[in-house]
Amino acid sequence: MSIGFMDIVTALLSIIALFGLAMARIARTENRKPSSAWAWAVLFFAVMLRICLGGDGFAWAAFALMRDIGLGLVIASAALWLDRAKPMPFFVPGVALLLAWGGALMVEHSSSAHHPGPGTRDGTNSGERPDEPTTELLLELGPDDSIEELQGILSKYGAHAERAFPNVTLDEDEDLAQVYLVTCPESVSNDLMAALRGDRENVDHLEENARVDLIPNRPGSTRGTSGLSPFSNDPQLAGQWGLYKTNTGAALSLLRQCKPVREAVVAIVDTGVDSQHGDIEKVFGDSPGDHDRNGHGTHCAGLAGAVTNNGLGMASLNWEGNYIRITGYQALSASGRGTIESVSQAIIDAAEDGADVISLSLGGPYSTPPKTEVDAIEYALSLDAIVVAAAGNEDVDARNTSPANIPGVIVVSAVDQNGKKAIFSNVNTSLARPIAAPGVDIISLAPGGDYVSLSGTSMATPMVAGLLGLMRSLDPTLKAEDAYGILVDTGVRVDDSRYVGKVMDAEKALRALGACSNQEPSEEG
Amino acid sequence: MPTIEGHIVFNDFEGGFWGILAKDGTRYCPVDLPREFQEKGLAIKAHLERVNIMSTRMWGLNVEIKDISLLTP
Repeated sequence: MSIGFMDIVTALLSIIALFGLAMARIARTENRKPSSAWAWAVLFFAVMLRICLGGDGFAWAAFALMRDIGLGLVIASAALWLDRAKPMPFFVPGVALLLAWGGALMVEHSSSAHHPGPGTRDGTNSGERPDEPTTELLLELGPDDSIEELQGILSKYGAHAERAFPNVTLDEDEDLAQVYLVTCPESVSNDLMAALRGDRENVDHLEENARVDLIPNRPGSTRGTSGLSPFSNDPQLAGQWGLYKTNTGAALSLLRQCKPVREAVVAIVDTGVDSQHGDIEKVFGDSPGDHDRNGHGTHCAGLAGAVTNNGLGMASLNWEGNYIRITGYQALSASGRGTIESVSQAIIDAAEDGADVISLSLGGPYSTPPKTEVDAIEYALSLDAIVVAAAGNEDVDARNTSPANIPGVIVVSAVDQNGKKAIFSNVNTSLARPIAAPGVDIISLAPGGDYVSLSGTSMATPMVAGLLGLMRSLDPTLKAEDAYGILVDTGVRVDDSRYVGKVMDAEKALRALGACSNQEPSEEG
Repeated sequence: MPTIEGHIVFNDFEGGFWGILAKDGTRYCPVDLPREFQEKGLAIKAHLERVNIMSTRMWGLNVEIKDISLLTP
């Protein structure tokens, strides 16, 4: 139970009012001209009314009344004692109220210790109840402001705040360094947002955090949690429904007994990649986009080539990191936006650095693709790169989304767990190279060693890019057109294939490639 | 780009982001929606300007908001 500025003002006013009442009593006792006792009484009752109607709950109002009246009575009794009057009528009830308030504080403190989390003023819910839904807000303070200045508001609504990006210093980025992740009970989130927005002196920006499911890196077996046979020892595997849908288990069974002709390079042109993430560090190749302030690029990188069967995090088609090398090229800012120039430049850089596959989980609405980007992709194709792009997320035809509509690009739509087109995914009925992959609730890497579930055609795209990289690692002479032919020939037809193309099948693609053909899978996924 | 009327939507894919769905069905993806308008269902009137960017969102026309106000019922 922390105390805010208004609480202090209220307490002082009530104490002043009670002190005034005491002085009035002294004057009356000594037959001096009495001060305006009624004025003090009005002030006192006004303050009490403010406490009771403050909207902070009955228990908090009771606490505040005990504290303020107790303090006021004790001070008044001291004044009477100094004035040689009888202090007892004020002193005893004052001390009793203060003791009661102190006891209440101790009870609340004890409760908070047993239930870590924010305390609430109404005393009925110290901390978020385990079953109570919560809301997360992103709160940005001014560069000179401190979260302590908002502690009163946060406490009032049972919220707590922690720095969203603790590794970012004010020198590095004065916006990100001042962003706090505020968690509060969902039932009070609107009131809390209104209160925070009212504090324009400290609050620069406030928005509801996108709700994503952060998944801790759980060590141990996944057997029994998915109903499907695990095909690697990666703890997140049970939640990676997309791998089961794309027959990745059977593909990995081939790959575990096979060797690549050479590592293939899959370039992630995006917001950068957190190259220090433990699930990709080993396979991250020298490239400029090795940091990620957004997370989108890191998520895509994991789907394309996270190290599989390393006992850590997630799986991909990159068995023990032997087949795919991931590189990162930052074309988009921390906000996930970039220019045609920045995207084109990143494509060019990736191609010149020898990327086998360039994965583009990005786009913009252009019925006629930007010339610069067309040129960049043509250049990449001329250097033998396979270019894969997301279809887009508007539930319309991808022909008006670029770079998806640039000739030569393999265009990836998203399907859900039931093999249906993801509700947001663009369809692809007019472009030359449609294919589909899982894109709903897809677990992958998040910067800082975490894992997160996201949805979008952005997630489907690097899964296809990873398979294409794998194919290139087994057959480095494979041309883009032939690679796409294998994807289509071996893909699985689903109900919505007429809209989004076939869903990629990793194992069948490898078999069609003739890779590891003398090996039989030892375990099916 | 003309002034449009519509309402605020929140898209929960690509990490989640705010958009504007105009009355004529056009989708706008603002790069700078003011925080006080970041509330699902708010009816708004806005003057927008198209911006040529690529993004991870791949939803709607990318726009900057030149002016925005609440629509009174």
